[in-house]
Amino acid sequence: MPILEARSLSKRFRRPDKKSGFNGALKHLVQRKYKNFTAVDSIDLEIDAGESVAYVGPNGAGKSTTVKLLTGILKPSEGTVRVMGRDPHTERIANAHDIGVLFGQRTQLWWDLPVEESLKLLKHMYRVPEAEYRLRIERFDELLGLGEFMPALARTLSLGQRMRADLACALIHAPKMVYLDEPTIGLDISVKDRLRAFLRQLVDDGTTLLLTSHDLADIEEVCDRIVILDEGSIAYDGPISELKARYITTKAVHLILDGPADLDALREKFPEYEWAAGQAASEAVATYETVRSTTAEVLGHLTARLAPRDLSLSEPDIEDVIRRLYAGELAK
Amino acid sequence: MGVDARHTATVYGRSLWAHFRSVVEYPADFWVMATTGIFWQIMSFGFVTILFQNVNAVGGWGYHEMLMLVGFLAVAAGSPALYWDGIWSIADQVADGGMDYRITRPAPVMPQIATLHIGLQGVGEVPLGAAMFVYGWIGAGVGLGQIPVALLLFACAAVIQVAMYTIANSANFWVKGRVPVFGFFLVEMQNEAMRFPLPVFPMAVRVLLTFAIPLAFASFVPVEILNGRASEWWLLGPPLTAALLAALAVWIFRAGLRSYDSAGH
Amino acid sequence: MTTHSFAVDRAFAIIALKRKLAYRWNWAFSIGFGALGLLVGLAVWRSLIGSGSLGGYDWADMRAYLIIGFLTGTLAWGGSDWQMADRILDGLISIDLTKPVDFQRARAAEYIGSMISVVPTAVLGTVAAFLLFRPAPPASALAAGLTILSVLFIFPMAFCVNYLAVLMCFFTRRYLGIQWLKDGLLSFLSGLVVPVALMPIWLQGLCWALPFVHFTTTPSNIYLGRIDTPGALGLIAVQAAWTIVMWYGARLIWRQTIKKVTIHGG
Repeated sequence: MPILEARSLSKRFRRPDKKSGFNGALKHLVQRKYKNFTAVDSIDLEIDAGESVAYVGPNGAGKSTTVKLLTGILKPSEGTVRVMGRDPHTERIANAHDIGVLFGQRTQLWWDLPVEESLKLLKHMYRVPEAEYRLRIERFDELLGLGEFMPALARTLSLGQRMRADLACALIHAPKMVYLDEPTIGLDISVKDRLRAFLRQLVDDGTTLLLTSHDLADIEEVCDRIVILDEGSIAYDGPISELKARYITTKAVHLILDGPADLDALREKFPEYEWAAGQAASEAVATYETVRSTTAEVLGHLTARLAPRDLSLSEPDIEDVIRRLYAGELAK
Repeated sequence: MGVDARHTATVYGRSLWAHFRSVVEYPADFWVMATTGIFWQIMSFGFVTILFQNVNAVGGWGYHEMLMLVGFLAVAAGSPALYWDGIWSIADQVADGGMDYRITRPAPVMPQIATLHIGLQGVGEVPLGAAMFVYGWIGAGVGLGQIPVALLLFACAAVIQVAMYTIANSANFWVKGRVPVFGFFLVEMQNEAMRFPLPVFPMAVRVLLTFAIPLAFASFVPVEILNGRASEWWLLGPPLTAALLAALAVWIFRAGLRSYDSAGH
Repeated sequence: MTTHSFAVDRAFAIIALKRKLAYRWNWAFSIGFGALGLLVGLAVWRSLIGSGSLGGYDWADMRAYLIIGFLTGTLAWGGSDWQMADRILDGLISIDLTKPVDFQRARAAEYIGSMISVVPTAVLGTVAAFLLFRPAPPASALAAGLTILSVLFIFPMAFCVNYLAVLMCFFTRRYLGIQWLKDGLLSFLSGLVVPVALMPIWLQGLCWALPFVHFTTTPSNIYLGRIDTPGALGLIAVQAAWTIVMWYGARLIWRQTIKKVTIHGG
């Protein structure tokens, strides 16, 4: 049985339809007009225990709204959500014990309290036994370096410290299902690396994870499955490896030639490849489809005929694929 | 929904206590706030005293009765700062999405919000207000036998205040913006109007402040009962109002949470 | 600091005015609060004065007093002292200090700009109150003119009082308590809560020794002719003197403070 199950889940918002400025506000007071706006449009989603799912999409695609529906913050306009068999909106308190939530843009730390006090309050709120609490704090300290800022007031933390503390807050009760909305936003590379390693560890220990991020390195390092959202509906849902296999169908050879690369001549000579200019004048890029030729064939063929001074191989990354999916260039 | 009263009380108490300790760690802030509360009450006392150097009665009330009224008002309206001040952050919590986290936690949302802050002006206001009330009580010659009634009336007034603050601030679930305009308006109205006995005002205002926005039951009516100006039947008013308003506050807060759409985050 | 010109002041003032106007609710409510106070004041003093007089105010005088109090109170509380305080509390001040503008002048321009936002409604409200409640007329045409001059001094004086209060934020984490303390002092010692003439002599002495009294009592005394023309000119001179003393006093405090205090979050 899946740990999370959403069936034709939709959320519409009613937005005041008003013009900007004082006149617009005045007009709105007199004749109240609203526009319906569909943020999430009939989504079906099933997540099994232990899965780690990346939930990606462009800004405004409905990612955060979905997370709010799944966590019970919002009531769906249509459709149902079940988390461990419960409706997270109507059975809010029972559900809360089993889930952990982090919104990277906002903190759940009590602004005026030391980090340690926030964690202790949460300990009581979630009824975490003292021994377990100690054990977890120790572990968080080890993996996230929490100890150095436990006595600091939340308002004085750096962004990286704040995010680590927030992660500890979201996980202090060892939730089975964890939602992380942009957990690495604004962080520097070293903190990001640390967080990703920590999240991977969490998944390996059996926690179910749903993660939204704009940083595809987060996704590739932490998640096994990817769900791509576009304009409120799911554009792709499957293993990341499969996404790659399905859409990453080309590779490119970068050749450094003696003297400037003459693309027209190259196209005439090797019409089976797509040719493009490289970064240097002497560089030419040949793109080929991996179903038609193997890399060994292409390399053998080109080195024998062109005798390049140097060459390298590249393949489109997942970011390219997703960009093209958003742009509608790829079949969904 | 599995709301567990004991657990809720623990969460409420611990959160309040943690905030109290944290605020006290900054002596400058503590003293500024406490001094503010003390100063307000000195001002109140000065106001009544100056008035009575020039007149013999205000709306038919004498000096000591007025002190009872102003003192009762200070305690009733000022004490929620010490245990329900966070309710003033509803507007902020809605505007910046902090409400989201409270909803995902296994405890009722209202006590979580109510303990987000402590208003230390209460530390100055409540004792000085109480002192004024007691001074007025003795001067007005109210008997000691009335003490249990007074305690009941204070308790009801506290509930009425907490409920009114909650209702006024809950308006910010619908009226977007970081300023709790309805809350401010309520406080301003109470500060301006309720430090005077209601007979000073035209009939329409008296009716309004007794039955429509029942602020009278949190200060004027209790003092009227204590100094024998109102019949015993009025004693039913404060507990009934308190119960009614408390239920209304819970209902409106819940309606607000239901309509909360966490927009723009 | 010589680069700070009037054009810079004007720019700061206009930005602050626009910002204030953008928050329509606050703005509407600042007027609403004043109107509430005025109505309660009218009810209470009417019942207290009846057909007699108190402290030399008969009922018509008292109506004039309360309406002037509404006008001066709305102006005195019309500025955005919060914005100034937040600059210090959020550590934005360390950015301000790198700019070629005079910090105090820039804040003054902003503050007065935000006060201007309440002028139209304050004036309209005052005119409406005059028509509705028919208070005592000004003692003379000259008195009316001097009243206006004296009310205009509220602009720089309100800035100075608020700026001095805001400077206390170097020593605290929050502005709220300081603000409330300042508000309390201002409303009580200005005569807004109860006219200064009704206070005991020693308290009247204290009031007249402080700047707050010039926010309500001075303009209303001039208006009602409780003071003759030379006296009125003298009071206006005292307002000017307070403005200068507070302005340079603030500079002095600023210079001492900035040396000692680490900037929040900076």
